[in-house]
Amino acid sequence: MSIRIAEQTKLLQGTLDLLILKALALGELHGLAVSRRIEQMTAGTFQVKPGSLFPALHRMEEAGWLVAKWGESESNRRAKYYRLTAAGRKQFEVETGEWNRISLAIAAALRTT
Amino acid sequence: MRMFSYVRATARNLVRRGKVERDLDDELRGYVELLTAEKVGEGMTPDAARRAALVESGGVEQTKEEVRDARAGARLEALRRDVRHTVRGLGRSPGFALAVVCTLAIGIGLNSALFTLVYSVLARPLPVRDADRIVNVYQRLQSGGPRGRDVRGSSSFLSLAEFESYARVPAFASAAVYHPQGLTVTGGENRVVQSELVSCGYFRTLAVPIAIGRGFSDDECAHPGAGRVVVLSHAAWAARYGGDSSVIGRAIQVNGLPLTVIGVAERGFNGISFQRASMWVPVTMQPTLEHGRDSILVHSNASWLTMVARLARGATLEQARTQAAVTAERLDAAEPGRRTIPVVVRGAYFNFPDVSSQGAVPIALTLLLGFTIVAMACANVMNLLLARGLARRREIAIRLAIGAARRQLVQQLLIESGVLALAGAVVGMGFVLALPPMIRALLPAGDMQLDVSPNLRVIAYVFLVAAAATVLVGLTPALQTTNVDLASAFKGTATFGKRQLRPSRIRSAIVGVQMAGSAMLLVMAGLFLRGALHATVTNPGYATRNVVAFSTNAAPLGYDDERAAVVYRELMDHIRRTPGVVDVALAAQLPLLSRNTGSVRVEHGTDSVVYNVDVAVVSASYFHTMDMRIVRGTTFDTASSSADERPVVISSSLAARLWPNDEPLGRRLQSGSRWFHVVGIASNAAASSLSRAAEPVVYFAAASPLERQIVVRTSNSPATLTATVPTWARALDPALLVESERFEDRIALVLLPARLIAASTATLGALALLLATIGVAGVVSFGVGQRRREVAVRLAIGATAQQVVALMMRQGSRPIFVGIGTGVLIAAGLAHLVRGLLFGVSPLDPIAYVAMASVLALGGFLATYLPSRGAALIDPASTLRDDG
Repeated sequence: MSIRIAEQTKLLQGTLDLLILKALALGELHGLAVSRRIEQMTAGTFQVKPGSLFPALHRMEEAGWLVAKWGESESNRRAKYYRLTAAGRKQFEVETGEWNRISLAIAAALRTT
Repeated sequence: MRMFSYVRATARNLVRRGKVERDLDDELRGYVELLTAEKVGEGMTPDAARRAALVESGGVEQTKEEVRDARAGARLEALRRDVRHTVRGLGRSPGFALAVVCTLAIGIGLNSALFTLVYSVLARPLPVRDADRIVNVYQRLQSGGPRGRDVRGSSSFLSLAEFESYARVPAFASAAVYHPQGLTVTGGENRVVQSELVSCGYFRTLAVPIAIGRGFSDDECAHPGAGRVVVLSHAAWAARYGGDSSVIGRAIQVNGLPLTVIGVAERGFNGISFQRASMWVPVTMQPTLEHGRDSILVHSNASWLTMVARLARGATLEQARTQAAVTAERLDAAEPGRRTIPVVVRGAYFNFPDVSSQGAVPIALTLLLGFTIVAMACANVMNLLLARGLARRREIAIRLAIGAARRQLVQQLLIESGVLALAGAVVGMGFVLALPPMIRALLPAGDMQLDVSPNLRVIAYVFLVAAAATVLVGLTPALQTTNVDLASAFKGTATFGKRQLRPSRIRSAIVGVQMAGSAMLLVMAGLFLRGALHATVTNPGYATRNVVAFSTNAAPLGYDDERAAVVYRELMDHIRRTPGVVDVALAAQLPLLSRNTGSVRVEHGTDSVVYNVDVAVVSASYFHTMDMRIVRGTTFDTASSSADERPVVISSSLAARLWPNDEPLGRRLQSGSRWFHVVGIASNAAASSLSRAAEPVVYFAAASPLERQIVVRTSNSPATLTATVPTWARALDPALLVESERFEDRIALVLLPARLIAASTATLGALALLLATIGVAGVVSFGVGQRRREVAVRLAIGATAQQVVALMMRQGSRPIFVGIGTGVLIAAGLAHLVRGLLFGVSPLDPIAYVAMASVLALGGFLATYLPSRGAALIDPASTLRDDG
């Protein structure tokens, strides 16, 4: 099963942010690489299309969580690379904690009979 | 942190939009290329890979749009697009845009300029540090105050003793008083220097640093005559003492007394009186400076000092008011019959209570004028916008039909009026910026420190007016224009929603308002013009041409009566021998401008009655010099006078009031503690105001020439005399300075407000009438256009051309008559309030009303007749065929 985040932006915006932060936690990546990393991390469950990836990247950059700079890709093409800032790292921690709490709570809720 | 980066991003997105867009474009192109490369790597052909990559990416343009929406400042960006769209749209009809911007610029600009003027005079903070903590303290005394109070300037000023009581109010950290006064400086170049007599806490209270030397110490105000010291302004120090700091410690001759210069005040500080001060002297020097002739300093029942105080840290204006009221109660308790209301207000030049009572009418009139101007401009622009809206009905209908929300269209139309109002405000700022040079040109150079330059508050006001104009001007046309019945709009027939006002109704209402405004302005203009004319043509009771008054500084120089008598006799003899001189006299001052009042008591049998009168102190030849007549009796000279009964001359109006049925000559009257007897009756003359020509006046004989003016009437221009008298005086005593004043100048000054108001109301009234006329013409010709078919039918069944023209005119004339009527009524009401400025012309002066009503009616007639003529030219046959 794969979920196309573009169609559920509203519901999953927080999720997308968290996934992008996670993807970038290991190092800087360009747009396509971010979406591939997310695919890989979620075993293909989440396929992020440019229509939702790029607005999210730009929004997060404007919030000061990411910085972008132009660089060369592995295939010698010009590409914009995103990297976490200190604020981005902190945001990643906060959102991870938040997510864990929510998922535990929802899991608990679903367990009740 | 996050806020900061968001603001930075917003700024980047708005300012460097081109680069941001190019970056996005590059990034997305890169994405597709990388995806293509990936697919080629998986074994697809380049073409197929590219196609697949594009499909997988979804629409690139759509992605861009989503990024744009997610960007910081997306709303601002949308607004910017709307504004750009609007500006481009207005650029397509430059005539319309120019007309609206100019109209609004005149309205907003003039209104703001008038506001700036009123604000600068009444409310602008004093030019000192932390001016918002500075307050003025005045007092209002019930029924003019205790009897015999010595009032100089305003009865709301304080005596030194009163100041010392109020200064102890705990809410004041520090307090001071000042009194503007001209002092004579001699030695080297002699001159009268505008100064302030101040209490010793003056510089401390105002937080004005002393640049060189020191300020006053408290012991210099300890007792009368204590501090023979002076502080100079930086400007005076630089101009007169060459910026030489060795002047500190030197003595300069002030009113003939040696005063030691102890300091120079901070550069740029010129005191806090309306007139720029160059010197400060302790107030306790007042009697000494007057050579003991005038010691108002020690009178507790006197009004002459203006008090300033700095609020203590944490103290509020309210606390200061409450505490000052306690002090006032103490003052009242100490003096039976006295009732004091203290007035504590934020510091400004002109804020004493008299201003708010006497000045209220001119101020209100000024603000009303400003309001009328902006209302007229807005009415006209609204009319233009309505007309434009009608022309745009099809466009609006199409946009509504293809799904635009009405709210959105209204918003866009409001943005349009906002852009126009903003442009109007920016252009209108020109009027505000033109104010300082204009004031400098009108007021005597360098003397006044009226600062009318725009500050933040003025700018805020301008934009507030612009914002108000946006809504006022834009809302009705926007709602009107967007409320269309789609079907009829496309058919091209003008029908409107049932519950909606027809636009012609609204336009008629606007025209009515405009006519009312112009009627009000024109009638006021007519009255003021009549008043100014009346004042110049009616005889005030004395000569006004070729009269000149000379005043000297003999009193401040310390002349005694004897020496003054010698010098004045010498000067007057010189003048009398000059060819062309009709007569010479002494007088305390020329009539008009200021008022000297007193009371006299007469005995009618056993009753005694007190009358309030104007007082003049003159020499015997005054009446002939001023071309007045002694109606009965004689003037002072030839009358016999004993030591305890002195002669007076009274005006015929006073004689008629005091002894209506008896012979007034030889009667006694009491003034102060002295008795006088009437030796002569003088013809009536306007003493204090041109509008009151028959005021009761008592003329007392001038004993000593000290502090009197020499009044001269010549048969031709007194120009040579004004040039030579000062040189004669200098020959008698090098320190003796003479200033001259032509009576005509004084009269011109008295008439200036009326003339200014007349000129400005006339100009604005004419402008308003022009605008209203155009508005009327527009409404009528629109009506003619709409009723073409009806007119054609009427003509076809036998109506004459005259009849249809009359029909059309009737439709346009209602708002005109209603408007003129309303305006005239408002003007009549206002005229009663400004009677004082009309110089005796009745507020219901028929000539002004009839003349102005005729002008208005003529304007209204032309505005309805010219477009109505179009109705007569309608060809019934073709009209009915075309529309049928």
